[in-house]
Amino acid sequence: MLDEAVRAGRLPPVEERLPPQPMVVTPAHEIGRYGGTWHRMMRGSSDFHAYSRCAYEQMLRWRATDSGGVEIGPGLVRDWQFTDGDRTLRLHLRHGLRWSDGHPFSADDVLFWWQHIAQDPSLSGTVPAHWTPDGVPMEVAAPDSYTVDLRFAKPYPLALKYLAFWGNQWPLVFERAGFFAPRHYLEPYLPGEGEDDVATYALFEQKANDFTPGRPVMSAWRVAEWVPGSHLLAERNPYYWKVDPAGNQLPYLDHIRMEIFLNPEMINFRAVTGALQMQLRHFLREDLPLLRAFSEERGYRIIEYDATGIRGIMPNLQYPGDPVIRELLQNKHFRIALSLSIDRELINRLCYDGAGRITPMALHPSAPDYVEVTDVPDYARYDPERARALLDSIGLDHRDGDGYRIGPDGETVSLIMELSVVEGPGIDAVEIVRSQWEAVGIKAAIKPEERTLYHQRVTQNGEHMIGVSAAEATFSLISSVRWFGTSMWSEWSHHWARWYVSDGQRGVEPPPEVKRLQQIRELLSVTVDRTARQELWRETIRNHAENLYVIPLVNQGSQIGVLSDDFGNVPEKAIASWVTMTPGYLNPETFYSKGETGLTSR
Amino acid sequence: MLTYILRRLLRLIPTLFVISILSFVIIQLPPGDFFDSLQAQLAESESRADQQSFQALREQYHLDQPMWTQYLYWIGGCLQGDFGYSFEWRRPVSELIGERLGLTFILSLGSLLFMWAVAIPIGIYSARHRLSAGDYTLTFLAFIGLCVPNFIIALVAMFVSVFWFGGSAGGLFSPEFKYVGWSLAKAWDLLRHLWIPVVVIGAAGTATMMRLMRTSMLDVLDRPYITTARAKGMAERWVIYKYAVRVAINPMISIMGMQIPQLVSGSIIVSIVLGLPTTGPLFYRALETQDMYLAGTLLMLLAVLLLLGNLLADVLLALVDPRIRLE
Amino acid sequence: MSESGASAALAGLSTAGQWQLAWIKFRRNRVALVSGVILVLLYLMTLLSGFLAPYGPDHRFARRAYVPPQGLHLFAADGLQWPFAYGLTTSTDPQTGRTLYAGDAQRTYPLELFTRGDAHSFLGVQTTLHVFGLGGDSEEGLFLLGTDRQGRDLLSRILYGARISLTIGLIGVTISVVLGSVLGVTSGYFGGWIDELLQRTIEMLRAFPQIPLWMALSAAIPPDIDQVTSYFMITLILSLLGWTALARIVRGKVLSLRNEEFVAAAQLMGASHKRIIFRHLIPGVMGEIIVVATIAVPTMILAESALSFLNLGIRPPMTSWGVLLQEGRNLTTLYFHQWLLLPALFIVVVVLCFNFLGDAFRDAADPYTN
Repeated sequence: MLDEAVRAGRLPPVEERLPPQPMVVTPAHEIGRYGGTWHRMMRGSSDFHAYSRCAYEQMLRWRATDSGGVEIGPGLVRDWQFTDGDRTLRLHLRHGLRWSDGHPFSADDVLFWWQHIAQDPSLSGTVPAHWTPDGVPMEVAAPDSYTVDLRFAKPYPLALKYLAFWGNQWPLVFERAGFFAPRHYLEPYLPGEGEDDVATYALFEQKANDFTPGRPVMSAWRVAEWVPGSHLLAERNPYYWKVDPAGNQLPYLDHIRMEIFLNPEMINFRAVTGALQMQLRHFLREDLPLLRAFSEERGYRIIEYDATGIRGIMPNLQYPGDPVIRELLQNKHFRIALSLSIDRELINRLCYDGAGRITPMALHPSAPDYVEVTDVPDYARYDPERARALLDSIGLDHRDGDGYRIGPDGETVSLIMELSVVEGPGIDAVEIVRSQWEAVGIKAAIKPEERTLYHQRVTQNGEHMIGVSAAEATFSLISSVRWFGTSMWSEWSHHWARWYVSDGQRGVEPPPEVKRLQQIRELLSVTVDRTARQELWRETIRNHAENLYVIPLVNQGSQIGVLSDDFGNVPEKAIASWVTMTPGYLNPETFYSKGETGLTSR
Repeated sequence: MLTYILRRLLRLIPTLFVISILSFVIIQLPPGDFFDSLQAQLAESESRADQQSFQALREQYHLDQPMWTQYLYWIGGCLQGDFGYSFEWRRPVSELIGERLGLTFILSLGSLLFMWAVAIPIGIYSARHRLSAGDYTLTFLAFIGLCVPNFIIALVAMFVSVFWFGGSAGGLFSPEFKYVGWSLAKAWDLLRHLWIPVVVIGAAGTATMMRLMRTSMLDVLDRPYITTARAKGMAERWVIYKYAVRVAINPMISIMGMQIPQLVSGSIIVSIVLGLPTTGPLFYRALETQDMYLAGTLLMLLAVLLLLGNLLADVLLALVDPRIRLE
Repeated sequence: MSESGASAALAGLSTAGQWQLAWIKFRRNRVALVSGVILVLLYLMTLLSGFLAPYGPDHRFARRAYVPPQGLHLFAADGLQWPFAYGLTTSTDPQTGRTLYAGDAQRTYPLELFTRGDAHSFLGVQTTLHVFGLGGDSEEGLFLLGTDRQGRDLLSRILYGARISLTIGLIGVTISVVLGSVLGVTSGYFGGWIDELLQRTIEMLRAFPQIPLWMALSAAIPPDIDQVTSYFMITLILSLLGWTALARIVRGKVLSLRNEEFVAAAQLMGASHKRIIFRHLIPGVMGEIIVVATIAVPTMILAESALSFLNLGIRPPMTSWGVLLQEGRNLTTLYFHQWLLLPALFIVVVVLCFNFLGDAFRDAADPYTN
């Protein structure tokens, strides 16, 4: 594609565009061919992830391990060390990299981002929380053009994960966590001192937005056309700094074309006509039979990537509304009884076609710190007899006129589950749970709520009785919201987290087991040694298994997607996670279109 | 005539103000605002979004002010052509709507043409062959068109177009043509996709028009001058088309002004189901996300369109029927 | 000659009042009669929906998701029998992974009349009586119209959905009629600034296109309020625009009637305004009201189903025909499970009937058509 430009002299030949030591990326299957367009779809114009994930390019990078897990590997940074008692992270950038407009990339671009953007309250709101561990912003220094030092007050191994995760997600205004920005391009547009009119900021925003054509990027493709409401077209980055093992500059694909749609059925329409090369995003499991029905005649197949969430019922253990209910919820045996009365196999069959995953609060095998913990009680099984016995034993042995159990205050025990979905397997499962709780004598109701309202009630005010949500099982440190009781967004620990965050000023003081969890999180964020981390995780999992803060449900087993038969180098098995920017971590720069003409040297 | 139109337009202005106020209030009714909604959405995917960013944005767009202040900001902008900012799309509302207005009108005009092209001849036929099998069948079909919910027709149409015609459905272009420049092939592609929404949107209106035309024709055919023309030995075809239809069509013309705004708002649901890049899905999405300036402006726009349509209808009626004198 | 003698002499002739004339004309319209009968039946069915539906609306059959409509059979190996249903055997389609169902003639379940089933309440009384159901084990069910994704019987859900879909139209129209009539009559009769005010208000409201306005107002309903309240809010929203048309018509009629002599006579006789309005004016407008109201019902039913379909009106877990059709919004249903679109058929039938009825009323009330 670039041949012509080279011949016309508009572009230097490839040898001059590549850095002296380009990063070598090994494709999943074979060396590819140049050319072709990758068609994908995005839902609405704010669905930035749909494209950004393909252009995943960060300082460090998640990559697949041979065992099917993930680990952190080099990206723009070729290697790194922790020094100075693990308090400083030294990053060595690759030499000779260039932005997509040919301008050199260096540590200066990192400094520019940190000094002028991340720390400018009018551009970034506040400094991103993950670069401010313990409230102390990190210090960034660049001893030379290709070295960056990040200095923290305490050891901060989590920095590695954040350097790999928060990719250049500029378009989403609130995730301005990219680690670098093109100084040569953006500096002229920086609003000056005292300038505060909306237009200047809007201009900067627009220039900085990497969806804007002309904005230099470091990813494999750059945006050529962006028409919100219609489509996005990305073309190859002529200065991309990666090659395949044969020395061919990547990416193989010339273009990515994203079609924008609002109607959710649109994606099925496109898929069954074979118009999509590779996509998982936005497909629902219930459309699997339809996709399968057309797969042979339209030349694509179905792929399934592991989903890594743990769906659970999370009682508000500090429920302010009713002291009797609160005491019951805080009673471990009550929670265990509730858990034992759920027939998860039935839910799996009815709601997930048997393809769901039943798992307690434990790490997914793909997690970097994965440990297997086997010697813990399993309350995710179905044992209604035992459940009834337990409920009888804690004083709920009297029933009212309708057969529901009566609490110690003489009132019928009545539980309310709130959740933020209104249809789909999520709520169907909860309906089944309700009927099964009633079967053991606990009256229960479901309150589906609009997302905003749910968020307000649960994460802002903590006034819910029982919430239903999901925890992350692979990258549980990055999204640790529901593991350690340190986040007010967590349904089961809102008020305890408030206590933790306010240093005891507000909220409710947690019991020792939860305090330990909060402590573990702090330890995990500063422990670098892998074995030590695994021990901490082991303790965490055991804590959750014994105390059952979260009553596990059934999780979606996998995310389905389509893969065109003539689209190559896409692994058959992987993890579908937003942390790894799936398909970003699968090296989309090595995807190729088999129908294209062979390699040409450029 | 001109003075009449001007007077009517002037009278519209206070109405417009009230409409703008009402639109704004209605859009503000749902609790919370766009950023609450966005924050909840982010919370689901556990993204970190600090409160301060949201607060800063709220201040920037005056969302923290009382409603009447917000309204004043907005209406002030409207008068200068700035209809506010869409939070979801991150673009000025005027741009967004402007992009889609063209296609919306093409669609509505297409439906209008379809309605007229189908309903008039069928109405005439039905009137001429009154109480025949053909008449009953057509009347029945008309009722069907009227009574089946348009979103159902839209669904079935989608299904049919994909599985029977193998083409790509939804949207107005096939992927091959969507991004390239205009050409004969692209125009043909557009037509091939356009017929579905046009038929679906026009179905109900066609049915009504057909029956109206039939009634109108029947009314005219009873008139003495028709009998006279026939008695004089005029060819039947002549009688029908030169005399009867000319008169019978008058009431149709008068409703034509109303039809365009009706088509525009009636096409909303169909556009949503079929995923067309028109104002319908834009409005729906704006309601979902509480993108208030976009929703408010669209609501106001639709109301204005309706008012103008009414005016047009009255003017047309006066033009066509000299018996009506305007005050 | 005595009075009776005079009437006897005229006995050969019949007289009829205005309403009787209209009724006679109406009776001649076969289609309208049939429509009326159908509607009455449907509303009866809705009233008795708890009894008629074989199951409750949320009764799930664990292994019976997406069952196509199963009929009742009358013939077995030994000839004519009491109606029965087959048990179902499942198999998996190798290509798509779908569950396929086949009737197993070896396992039959007889139709039971007046059987016991899911609890439901009728006029406040709890009962488990159902008009018909299936005997035998509880894993098999009577799926005359098939089942949905969760294995719930579609016929039962349609019957329960009718409770909302059919009544919203009636209640909404009633509100519109009451509001519109009262305001229209008041406006027409009293005139002056009351009339001006009402006219302006109506103009304002009519300036808004119906569907977008309904959508916007429905979007404002908080999703966490209870079912009954949200039902009434939706009804209110729908009736909000309906009353304007009615008010205008009524006002027009009142304006023309106001100058009739019988009004002047009543006033002279010292009748109060209220009496004049209710005894004289409203009956004169009745015909128009009925016609407009009958046409308004299907509009409301269609509107409710469209709004619910878009998840703006009635929302799950409440059931209405529009909610049931939400499942039809995806391609999978259109391709594999078309029976889930059957609620559309019900909507069409109801709307058709109301339209025929309204047409017939209009023709009947109009003395100039033959």
